[in-house]
Amino acid sequence: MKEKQIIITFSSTTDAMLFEMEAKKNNICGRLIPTPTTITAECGLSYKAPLSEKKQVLEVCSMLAFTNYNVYELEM
Amino acid sequence: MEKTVYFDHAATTLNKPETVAKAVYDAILTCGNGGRGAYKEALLANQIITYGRITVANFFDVAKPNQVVFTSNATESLNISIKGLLHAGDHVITTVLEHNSVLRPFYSLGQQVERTILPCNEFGEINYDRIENSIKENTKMLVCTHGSNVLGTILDIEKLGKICKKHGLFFVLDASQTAGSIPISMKNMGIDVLCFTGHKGLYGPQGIGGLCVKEGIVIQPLKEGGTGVQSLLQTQPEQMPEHLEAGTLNTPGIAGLTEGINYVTSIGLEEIRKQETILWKQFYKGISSIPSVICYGNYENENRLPIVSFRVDGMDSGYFADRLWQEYQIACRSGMHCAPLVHKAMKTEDFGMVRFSFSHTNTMKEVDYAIYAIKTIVSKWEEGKN
Repeated sequence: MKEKQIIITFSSTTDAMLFEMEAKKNNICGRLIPTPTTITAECGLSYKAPLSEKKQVLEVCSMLAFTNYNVYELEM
Repeated sequence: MEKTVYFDHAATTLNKPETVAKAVYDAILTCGNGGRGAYKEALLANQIITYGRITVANFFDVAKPNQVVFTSNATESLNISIKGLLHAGDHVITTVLEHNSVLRPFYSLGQQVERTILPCNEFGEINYDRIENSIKENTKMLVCTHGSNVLGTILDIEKLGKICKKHGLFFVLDASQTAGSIPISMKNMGIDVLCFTGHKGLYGPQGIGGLCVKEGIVIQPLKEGGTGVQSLLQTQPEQMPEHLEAGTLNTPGIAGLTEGINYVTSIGLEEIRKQETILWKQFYKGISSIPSVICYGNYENENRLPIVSFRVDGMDSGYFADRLWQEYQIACRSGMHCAPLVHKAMKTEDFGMVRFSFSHTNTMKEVDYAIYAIKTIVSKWEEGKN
């Protein structure tokens, strides 16, 4: 069954991995996925988490001082 | 002795820790290709690579792990730095102590880039005043070794960093011989690009190295290719580190490098240097008293690399090194050591030098054995001449 998810895309694989490490420390129930082509055909890794964890996800982005990322909400 | 008595650690360290070998072995058997998928094996590779960047960034005091670029070795890193930062009409300053990994990229740039090569004195020491006197309007960069792989001279990089900052020059450092035994802080020493290799003082495998680039510095890529992100771009992505990394990374090498850095950190750089100093001093004391042995470098200064380079008067360095191996299983390096200008400066182009380079893993017993071997060969050589 599809659910609304928050997707973060990154410009660098390193950023994606650093995000995942920090997300784990903050007990966010998400994971890395191949970037959906509906968002971009540019490939790479994105982070997917339940929409209910949007606030925590955005807090991690802020904590890591990321400047080059995008946030999407998709049903997946 | 039956097994090799190894004194060529400046070429590559031999006694790698088991943890390094295990990390390489495990990675070969379990890793996919990092950045190419989100399944277990690809993510495992990504984790190894990212943890490697974090480890290197912490070790060299780099602001962010994204600024750590992995390459195959310091030579590749220096090629990227030199060719990616210089343009036609620029002027660059370097020294006679440099390895061919610095000199040959310059030679390949030919007349496009002007160069000043600073001389050294008879002990292999640089006059720092000459650096500022060499700076011109079009001077763009100072690139130099942190430590000479032949003479063991260690350059004052904090001083060099200050000079570069004062004059707005890029400071590119070749840390091949010092990473792992001398603490280096990119932040505090004014280094713009730090080039390192994994297989010497960092006790990692061959085939891995890198450059750490200060934030804000943009280097033109040497290689273009797949990055795992932004595939639709016709150029390398702008963001680091992908900007300077094309193709599959050496993930097993990175795994090994990480363990190597963990190993040297666990021993402590101060302890490593202390051990190295005891060994080279003992060796120098043993051979410098032999009349026909001529040593090169300043051995009164304890602040030097664990390298002793010398020649036996009248004997080709290659012949001598070969006798050490054939008769005593002693491994050392002879010849020009990929540093031709050092030999030109020391007037040893015709015979080369024999270089002994020590690691904290060598023992006093090995050093004493080497002294005995050298004395015996020289004595027989002298008898043969007479």
